[in-house]
Amino acid sequence: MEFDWEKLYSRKAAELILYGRALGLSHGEAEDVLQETFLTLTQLEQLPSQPDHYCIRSFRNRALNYKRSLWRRLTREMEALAGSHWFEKSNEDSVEGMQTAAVDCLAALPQEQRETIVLKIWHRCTFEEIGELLDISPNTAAGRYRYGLQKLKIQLKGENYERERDEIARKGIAFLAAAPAFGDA
Amino acid sequence: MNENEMKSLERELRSWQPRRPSATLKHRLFGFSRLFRPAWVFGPLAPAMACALLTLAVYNSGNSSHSPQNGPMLSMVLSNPVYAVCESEKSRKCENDWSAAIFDWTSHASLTSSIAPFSR
Repeated sequence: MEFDWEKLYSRKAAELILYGRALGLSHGEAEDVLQETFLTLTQLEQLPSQPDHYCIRSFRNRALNYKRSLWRRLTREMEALAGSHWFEKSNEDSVEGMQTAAVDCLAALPQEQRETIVLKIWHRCTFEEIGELLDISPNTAAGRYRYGLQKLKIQLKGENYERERDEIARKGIAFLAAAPAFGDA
Repeated sequence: MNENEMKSLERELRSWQPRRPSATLKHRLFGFSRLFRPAWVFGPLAPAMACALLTLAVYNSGNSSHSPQNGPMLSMVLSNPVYAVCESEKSRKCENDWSAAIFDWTSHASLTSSIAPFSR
């Protein structure tokens, strides 16, 4: 069996880590699960018909098993307090602020909506594929996705509104500070 | 949320790069061997190595005093390894033929002993 698992790893690793985060793992835990998954995949005697999907399914099963340990849950919560990020840091402050808000919102969503969003957007799975993976109908998958995305949009709109309001206030203060004193005029 | 808003949000989210795993994880999984695999090392270096080998071969054959005689023999030996064994036996024969070295004097040199030989 000749399949370039390294190539698949290079292509999917970051998305799988994100999926691990969506399933409630810390970054370190998601890395552990990723390692376990690929160790198993490279030792497979028979190549699966769809290596990409097999890889996602295998990662999901391991991630859900991994989550169950109490000790791991404690370390995960500690890492969550430390505020580890889900995405590569952006150079633009506005994007970074939006990412933080989106991650907060994603983290607040129910797990089934969160994982559907991650699978649809970053893994580019169809609703049929998501349905097959999660053992639900494609319509249910689509519903979860739309509902989750709607909540995300509202949250981000709120974040934008707050950011714009802060920006206006900051500009106002700067303008007032630059203006001459009342008695000088 | 209408379809356009959804699409634009999807585009925006998709533009964010998920955080990558640490580089050591890849090395732990696939090792350093991929960096030094023969295709990578010998691919670009193969012509240079071939030239170096050819230069060495030409240089050595020029220095060798037996080269004109060994040329046809070498090609024959290369074509059939059995000849290599026969040839090596032949070349060793004169160097290691102790019987010839020891008894040669009995044929050509005169006797130095005062005692007469038995067979008379």
